[in-house]
Amino acid sequence: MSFQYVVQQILNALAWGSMLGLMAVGYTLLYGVLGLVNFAQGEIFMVGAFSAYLAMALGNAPFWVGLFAAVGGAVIAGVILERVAFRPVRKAGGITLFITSLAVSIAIKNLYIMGLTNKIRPFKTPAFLRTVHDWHGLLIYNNTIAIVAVTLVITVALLLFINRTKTGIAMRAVAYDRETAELMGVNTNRVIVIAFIIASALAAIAGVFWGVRFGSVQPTMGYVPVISAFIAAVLGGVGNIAGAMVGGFIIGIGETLFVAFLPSELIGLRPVFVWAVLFVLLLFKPSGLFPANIKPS
Amino acid sequence: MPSSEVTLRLRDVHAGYGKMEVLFGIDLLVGDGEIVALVGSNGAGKTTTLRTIVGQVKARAGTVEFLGEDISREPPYALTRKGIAMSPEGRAVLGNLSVFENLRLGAYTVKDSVRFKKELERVYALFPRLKERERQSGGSLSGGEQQMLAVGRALMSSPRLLLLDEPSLGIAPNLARTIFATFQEIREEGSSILIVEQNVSLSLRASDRAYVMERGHIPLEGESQALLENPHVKAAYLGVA
Repeated sequence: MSFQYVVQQILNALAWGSMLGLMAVGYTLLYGVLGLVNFAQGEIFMVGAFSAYLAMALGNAPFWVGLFAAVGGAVIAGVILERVAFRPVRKAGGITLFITSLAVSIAIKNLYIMGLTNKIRPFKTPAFLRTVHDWHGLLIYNNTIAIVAVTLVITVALLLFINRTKTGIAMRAVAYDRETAELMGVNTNRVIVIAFIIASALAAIAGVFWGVRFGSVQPTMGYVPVISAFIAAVLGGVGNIAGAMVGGFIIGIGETLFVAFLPSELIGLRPVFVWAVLFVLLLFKPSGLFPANIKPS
Repeated sequence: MPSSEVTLRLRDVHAGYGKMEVLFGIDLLVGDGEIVALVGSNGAGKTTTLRTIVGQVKARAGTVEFLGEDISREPPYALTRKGIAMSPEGRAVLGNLSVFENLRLGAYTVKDSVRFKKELERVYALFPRLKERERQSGGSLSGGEQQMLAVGRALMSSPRLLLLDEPSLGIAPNLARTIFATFQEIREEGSSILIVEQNVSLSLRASDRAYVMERGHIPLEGESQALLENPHVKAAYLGVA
């Protein structure tokens, strides 16, 4: 197995790592501000991808309009879910919130299957994103470059938002101690809605990346990144945005290399990797690799 | 006292947690520019009184009035805008935020950046230690510094009413005196103060009037100077017979 092969695998994994990172940031934000492990993030990701697909396939819209449709559709879905599904059970605690997210996940997925069937749909991608460069024998896709670049820009913007703005400070304060944040005049409901908006927008962008990268979308696509992204968030230290992003890349690259080194008849063992990471993590470093941003209990 | 001079008035307030009744009809008043102490031993209901004022606990009966307006049904986050700020029990510094960010959050409701800078300078002048520690995380401060930060943070919204829950708890006596020494200055800048304290001697010396709380009732109230000489207060709280 040559060095070049490994580098090529890592390059291929960067897009997947970006998607996991964006999803992981969503987990980490929602867990931070309301203690929700939101397994419905996978469906928000799917809703985003399908909003883009529907705009482009049915509405014949250009790609950039599809991207806006993805973010818009996912954000609307996220805000509605916050209001009708999660807010009413918020006081019941983390387990109830988590189970609610499972119910929401199943409901949305099946609504889409009922409406659109579970057929695989081709995702239209602009030609420039399909171009491949040959660089000293390494194949580099334009979509890899675009996905990684957009992900980095989003990460920097998010870090500036969370560290430099008053709303960002309020968000970290709510994650640490909701009651004290409220005493300062912070409206917790508003902060939670903002967290849902950000998490949903990020999932939608990841969903569009998926369509661009793999060329198709499907109502059941949400289950693929959900566990890996969750583990990436735990790996990154809960509430830590940069950590979640790094966690996404570690898991994404790790998964890809794991599969790359497996004999082809064992490729079905792919999920073993993330569960093994979670197992080792819980055993030796349950708080994650980077500092968590919630109150130590 | 005419109502225009009343900052805070509690009328027959009952409150509690679940089936447990903690406050059995509290009447309390803080006049404009007054420093009032609410003293008593652990478990008397002092913190619950403050939590009821800021809406963290809802009054079951009676009313809480601030500047003549009934605020009993307001959510806690709405009160900062009206002019109430609190330094909560156990300091409750946000350990994941820097000292500066804690103060920034204290001015969450302040939209005007010029006013924010003025408030920040005022708090730094009051507690120079905070300025030295500006970039440090709140969690890395000593107990006394965290208390300064909690008080300073509450001042950032330039409140009409400042509520302080146990500002002397768990900190060195000289730091407690430093903090109590700032109260006169805070009052002169336009805030009325309600201090909740177990340290009866310190808070009676720093206040104009005081209420003594015992098991959810207020059996005794009056001028702080007079209470210092009161035989019951002396025997029960000041350790002199």
